[in-house]
Amino acid sequence: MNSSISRRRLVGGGVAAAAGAAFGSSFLAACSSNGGQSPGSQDTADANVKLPTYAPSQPVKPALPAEPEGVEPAYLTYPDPPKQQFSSPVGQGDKLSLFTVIASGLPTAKGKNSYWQAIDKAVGADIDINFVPPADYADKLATTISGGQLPDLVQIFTPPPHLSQLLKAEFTDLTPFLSGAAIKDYPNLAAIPTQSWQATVFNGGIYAVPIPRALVGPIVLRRDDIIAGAGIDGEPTNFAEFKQHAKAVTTAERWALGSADGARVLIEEMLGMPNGWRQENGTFTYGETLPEAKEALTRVVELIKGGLFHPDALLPGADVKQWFGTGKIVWHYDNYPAWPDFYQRFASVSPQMDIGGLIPPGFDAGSKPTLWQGGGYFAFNALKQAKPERIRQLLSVMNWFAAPFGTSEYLLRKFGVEGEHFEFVNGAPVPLKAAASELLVPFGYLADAPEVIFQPGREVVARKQHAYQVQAVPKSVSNPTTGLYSETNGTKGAQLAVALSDARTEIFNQRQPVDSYDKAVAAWKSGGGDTIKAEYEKAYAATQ
Amino acid sequence: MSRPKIVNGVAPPPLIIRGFKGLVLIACCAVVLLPFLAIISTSLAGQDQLNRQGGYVLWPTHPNLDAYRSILAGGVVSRALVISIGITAVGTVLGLAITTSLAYALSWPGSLGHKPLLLGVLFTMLFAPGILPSYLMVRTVGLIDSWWSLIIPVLVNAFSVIVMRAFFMELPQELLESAKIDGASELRILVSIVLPLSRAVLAVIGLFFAVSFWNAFFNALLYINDASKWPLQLVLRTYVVDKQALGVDQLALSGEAIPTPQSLQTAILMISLIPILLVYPFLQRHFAKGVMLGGVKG
Repeated sequence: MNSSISRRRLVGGGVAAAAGAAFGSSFLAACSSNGGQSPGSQDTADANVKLPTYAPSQPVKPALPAEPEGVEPAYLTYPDPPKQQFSSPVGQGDKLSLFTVIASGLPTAKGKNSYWQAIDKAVGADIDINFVPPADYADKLATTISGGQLPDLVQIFTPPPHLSQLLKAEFTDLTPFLSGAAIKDYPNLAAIPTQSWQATVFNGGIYAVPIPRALVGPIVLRRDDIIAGAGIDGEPTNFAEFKQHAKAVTTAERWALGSADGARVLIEEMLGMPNGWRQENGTFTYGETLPEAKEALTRVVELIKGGLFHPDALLPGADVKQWFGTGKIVWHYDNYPAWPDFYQRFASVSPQMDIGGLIPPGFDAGSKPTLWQGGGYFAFNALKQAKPERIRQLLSVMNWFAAPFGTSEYLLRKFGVEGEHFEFVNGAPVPLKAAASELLVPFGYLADAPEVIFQPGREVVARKQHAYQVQAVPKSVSNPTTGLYSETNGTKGAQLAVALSDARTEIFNQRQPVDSYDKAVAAWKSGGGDTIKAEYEKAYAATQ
Repeated sequence: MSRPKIVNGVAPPPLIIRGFKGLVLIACCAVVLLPFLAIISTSLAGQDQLNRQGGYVLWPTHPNLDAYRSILAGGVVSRALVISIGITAVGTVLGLAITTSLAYALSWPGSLGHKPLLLGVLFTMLFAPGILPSYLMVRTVGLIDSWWSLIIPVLVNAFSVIVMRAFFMELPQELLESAKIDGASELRILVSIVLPLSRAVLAVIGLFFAVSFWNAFFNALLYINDASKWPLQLVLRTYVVDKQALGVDQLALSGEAIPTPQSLQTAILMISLIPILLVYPFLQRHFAKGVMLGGVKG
């Protein structure tokens, strides 16, 4: 009855809400670390945009270097004393509002939050944040934009339909401020890798500042302690060997795998399938239309039938992370940042936990495996239209927030004030439990420095992560549609992907044979896939 | 063997049948109560036990209040609780007042503007505006970021008005007419005669209002930007990070923040349930009488 707002209005919602809901239903596109299709250029102008000149900044020499290019540097301790980058606040106490998703619970309100106040004082601004639960991002963005009262910084997390038109109409073209050498005014933003900037190009200009993330894409994590316990080495050389290893670790209480979709991606990487799309001489092919896609599905069903999956793996709502953390499954497909998270969450339950990353071997002697690169960013923040002076002010505040690892500003941002919010233990900052809810303010989503590998108290983990990246990054392939824009993908891409995903679920559950995938792919093609392919080819041709 | 007791003129069934019925009823109650028990226990259980047993427990081995303490720390949830209680109380009282007066006025066929008013109310039952029109309306009136945006737009609910009107029309006319003859004003009649006779319908409509105000989160999401003004349900929503097995396309948030432990999620559930559970027993007897009110009458 009275909850008519939540039920009836959702159903009878306006166009933006309906389209927004289609997007919100799958966190697709730019933010997916699967090197997802990020909306980018529309024509030659976009290809000619000069991205900011990359100028890496490393105030402290890392223990393990950032080589080859794309690998994150690893640090084993926090420099003591930390280097102070800014001698005085960059702002004059002006108000600044931010619209961002919040991936945790709400932080303590600003009035009672000493961490928030300390940040305000240090940067010289009065920061106000509009929190949005990720599930409701699309609706909230739609109403915020239609209401006309935009905050200064708006995070584009799940790209809404007609993103390029939206950016042009409501947000600032940052090209004069950031392109090429202009980025020198903001040295910390210049340290954001070029790959991360590619997704922010629209309408022939740079329209947002990205929140950088590792180039390393999603990863197959592996419980090395269990592998060692079973007496096998964790590096199979082909699929058959992988299957043997999987059988070797499966017992009555433990299984090899927990997610059918994750296994599918691993096998696709083994088969050398492209990252989303393959580009060859100007022709684009969608990975799922290749015969290897069906081969991967067949093999996943083979593994399911072999009893190598957790019995609840196909149920929706399965807590796969829980299984991995407690040792019920051995291989787990996840986003790269999840690696250190497992230690934080499960170290007390599984103290012997030792996690490594699996580099996919070739499927058989003749295959060349691929690793899929990540998108290089979490989301990007667009600046609402304002006078150039105001834009410069906002950018210098973002520059403060992007101060790199090793600076006192970074320490303040990530950990708070020493003694109040954290303490140094053996050269590493350790958060204080009492202040935990103050630290939930997502300043990292305002602007951030490129990530580094820093695992205080867990040197082995840091070294393992670095070693994995050194091997993985050179082998990773990017998604060739990054930087290219397809209108149809913006409007229909999400629904088409969901339809394919549903078809796969039917196959995994063995309600449909693997051959039914042909029908699903044909439906994808006729439902818009062919149009998307044509649009990408056209966009690519324009850049040549 | 003693003679079986006669109750209401019927002999009770033999003991074994009664025993069997009892067992079936106990089984039904258990099915309903077990999930509740699981939730209460999970909220009191230690994280280690949860990790070992995979998420839910039926009995905590080392019960502790850590989950509750950690939610109530920082004051965010306690503040939201107070806000929700305030909005529910004010909203229910106002809603009842307005619905009652509108329904009473519409229950007299000759009242001023009767037909257009009644048609207007019925018309709103046909459809509801979408998210954007509602938002723009609230914004035009200037209620963005105000708690009144959660109360005023939903004060008049056509269904409640119709139900109440039907009830008022069933009241004995002689009673009201004799009061009129005695010189009572309409307001006097409403307050002193009609309302005391309408306890059942007031309880039902009041409960509908209270529950919908208590549960509403979506309108708060849209209209209130300042998180320190959020009601409880919206604050709790931020704790529920989708822990579904993330498909290949949905990994963006994985690893961005530590997902809420099970004990925290269930403690949150308990906090949002307790106030409603406390209020309900007092209204139950009225509710039982009022549950037939929606039936078709005259």
